[in-house]
Amino acid sequence: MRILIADDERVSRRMLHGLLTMWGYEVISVEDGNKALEELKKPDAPRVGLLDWVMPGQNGVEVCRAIRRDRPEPYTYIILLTTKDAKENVVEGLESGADDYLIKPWDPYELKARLRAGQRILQLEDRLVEARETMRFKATHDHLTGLANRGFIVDSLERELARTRRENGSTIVMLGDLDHFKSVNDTYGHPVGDEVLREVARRLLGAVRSYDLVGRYGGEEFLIVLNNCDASQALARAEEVRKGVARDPVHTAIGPLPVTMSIGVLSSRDWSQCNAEEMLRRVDAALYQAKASGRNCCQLAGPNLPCEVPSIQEK
Amino acid sequence: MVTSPSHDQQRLDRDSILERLEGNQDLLAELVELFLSEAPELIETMQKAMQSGDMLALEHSAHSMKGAAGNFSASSTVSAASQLEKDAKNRDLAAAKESLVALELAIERLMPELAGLRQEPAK
Repeated sequence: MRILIADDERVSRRMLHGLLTMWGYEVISVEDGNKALEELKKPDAPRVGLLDWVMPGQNGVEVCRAIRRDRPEPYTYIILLTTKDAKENVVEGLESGADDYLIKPWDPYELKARLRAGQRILQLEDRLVEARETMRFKATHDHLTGLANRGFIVDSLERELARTRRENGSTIVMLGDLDHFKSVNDTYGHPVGDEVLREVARRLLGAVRSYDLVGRYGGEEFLIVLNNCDASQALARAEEVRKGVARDPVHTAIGPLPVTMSIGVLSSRDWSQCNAEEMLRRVDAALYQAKASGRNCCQLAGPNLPCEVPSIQEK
Repeated sequence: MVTSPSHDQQRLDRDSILERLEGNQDLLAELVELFLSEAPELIETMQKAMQSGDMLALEHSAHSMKGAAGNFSASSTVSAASQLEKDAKNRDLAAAKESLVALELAIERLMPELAGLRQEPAK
C-alpha cells in the first residue's frame, strides 16, 4: 500500500516516513501542497494521503478540496494532520472532504489504527466500484456473445454519427444476418445455435479494427459500426466481414456447420441528412435486398433520397 | 492550554520518545540530527522575518518550530513557539519580539539535551 505524506517541516516528515516504512507502507513524501496535489492526481497515485494542514503553496485543506473536485475516482483517503484543535477548524477540515484528522503531535498507535480504518474504507469502495462496473457491463452487453447489446450499440452509433458529423468524416454501418439460422436451432437445438452465435461474434470482432464497434442487434442479427472510415470502401469492408464469417465451417458439438451471412451496408457520408434511426431503416432494407438476391452477399443501401419525413414515406 | 514557563522546564523523556518510534534508535538519532540542523535555520528565518516585519513568515516558521519540537514532546519549546505564532498572527510586533527571545532561550536549552538523546544512556 502506498501513502503520500506532505509536511513542510523536516523532522515531522522524516518521523512519519520512518514509522510508515517500518509498518510496511511504501511512502512518497513531499514538502508542500502543490507537490502533494501533483502526486495525488497522477494516474497511479497513492490511495492514501496524510496532509499537514499548514503548508506553503496550497494548504492541506485546499489540496483536499481540489482532489475531491478533480479526482472523484479512484477514491483517495485523506487524513489531515493539524496542530489546530479548535472545533471550527476540525469542521472546516472535514467539510473540505478530509476523511479523518489527527492532532499533532499524533500518537503512532492511533495513526496506525486510523490508517487501517482508511484501508477498510478503500476496500469497501473498490468492491462497490467493481460491482457497479460488473453491473454496467451486464447492462450494456449481450450475455451469450459478450458483444454490445442492442441498446448499447445503437447509443454508440448515435454518438459515433455525431462525432463523424463534427469532424466531417464518415462512418460505415453494417447490419448482418446469419443465413438460415432458424434451421440450425430447429434441427440441432439451441445449444448448438448458441455455439454458432458465439463463434460468429468472435469472427466479426476479428474482421474489424480494435476500435470499431460490434453489437448483437437481435437474435442472429449483428450491427457493425466502423469509425472514421472511407465512404467509398463501404461495400469492400462489408465483403471482408462476410468472407470472415463464411471462411470455415463452425465447429460445434454435433460437428462442423457451414455459416454464411447477408449484409446490408451504408456510409453515413451518403446519408448525411439522416439520423441514426433512419440509417438503421435503410441498412435494414439493404439487408433485405441481400437476402432476396440469394443470401451470402452484401448490398449497399440506396438510392440516396432525402429522408426528412421517413415514417410517412415508408407507408 | 499554555503552561507557565516555570512549570514546563521538564527534561526530555528518552523512553517515551523512543516508544513513539517503536524503539527505533536509528530513527531517533536521525530525527535529532534533523532537528539540530533545522532549528538554527528556523531561528535565523524568524530573526530575518522580525527585522523585515514579515509577520506571515514569522508565524509560519514559529508553526514549523512548534511541530518539530512537538515530536520530542519538548514542551517549553512548543509553548514558546506557540506563543510566538499567536503574536505573529495578531501582528503584535512588541509581544513577538519578547516571544522570540523566549523561544531562542528554550531552543538553546533544548539542543544539548536533544543531542544527548542520540546515545543510549549509561546504565
